[in-house]
Amino acid sequence: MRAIEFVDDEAYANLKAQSEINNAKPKLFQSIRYDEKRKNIALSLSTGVEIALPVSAISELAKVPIRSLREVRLSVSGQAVVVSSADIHISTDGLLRDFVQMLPRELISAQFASLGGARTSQAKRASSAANGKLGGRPKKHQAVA
Amino acid sequence: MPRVMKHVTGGVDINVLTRKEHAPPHVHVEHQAEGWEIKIEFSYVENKGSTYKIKHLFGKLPTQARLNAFALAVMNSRRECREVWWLHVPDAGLNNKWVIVTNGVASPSKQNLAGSFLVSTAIYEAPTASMLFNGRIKGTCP
Repeated sequence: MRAIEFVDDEAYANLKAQSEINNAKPKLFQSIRYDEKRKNIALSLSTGVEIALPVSAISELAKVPIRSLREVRLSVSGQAVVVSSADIHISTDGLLRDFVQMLPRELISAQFASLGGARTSQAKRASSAANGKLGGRPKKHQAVA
Repeated sequence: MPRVMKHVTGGVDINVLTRKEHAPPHVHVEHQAEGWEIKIEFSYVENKGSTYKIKHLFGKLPTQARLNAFALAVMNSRRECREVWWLHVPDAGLNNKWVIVTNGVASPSKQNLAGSFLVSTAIYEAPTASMLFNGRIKGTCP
């Protein structure tokens, strides 16, 4: 019987090309460590930011013994927080998003709006130019003395 | 719990990640010592070679023969993969897809095929390795 070929030559060549692109990108999540004194796990990002997440607030880790927490590591891609001896593999992205949700809503909304406003695109440029032809932004009313 | 297989073939771990993972269903395959990680997709209604799509995440890509071996390992333990994925990410990735159940077995389909239906809900029933579609149609996972 012929073995099943999951990855043929063409798919392998595509994967190889993709691997070169992926490996050239900096990893967002760089490292992780357990801070025994503060009972946090400290996650370092490529931006230089370190985020401390309380172990008690991470359901998967809350009951893990300290000796296992000391082994915490990131997976090779940085996409998972791993505690091998406790069979824990948490999506790093998912974990951070859950913590972001704990921040005040106003702060998240303001940041979201700021990111949207800072974004440029051909469509935005065209719309802005078209609006400009209509006379531009209305003048502010002068305060009457 | 999310680990599907450990040291399947030469130091490789195969896991489902917890927290906000998303469809299509997939496992992460990692070799810590060799410094690479890939993911392999699987399906609840399909079991062909092409179903098990491989995506590179980081590190030196393993040889083609090894990738085929990992995909085969996932194929052979697809029932366990489906069970663990459903436990952590109860989304089979079938909503708004066309499916058909023929002789009790579910498979992907197309809109214009007789007997096909559009999935609005798909619930995996681990004890029988089957799906309950739209609350009334049952089909075994291939």
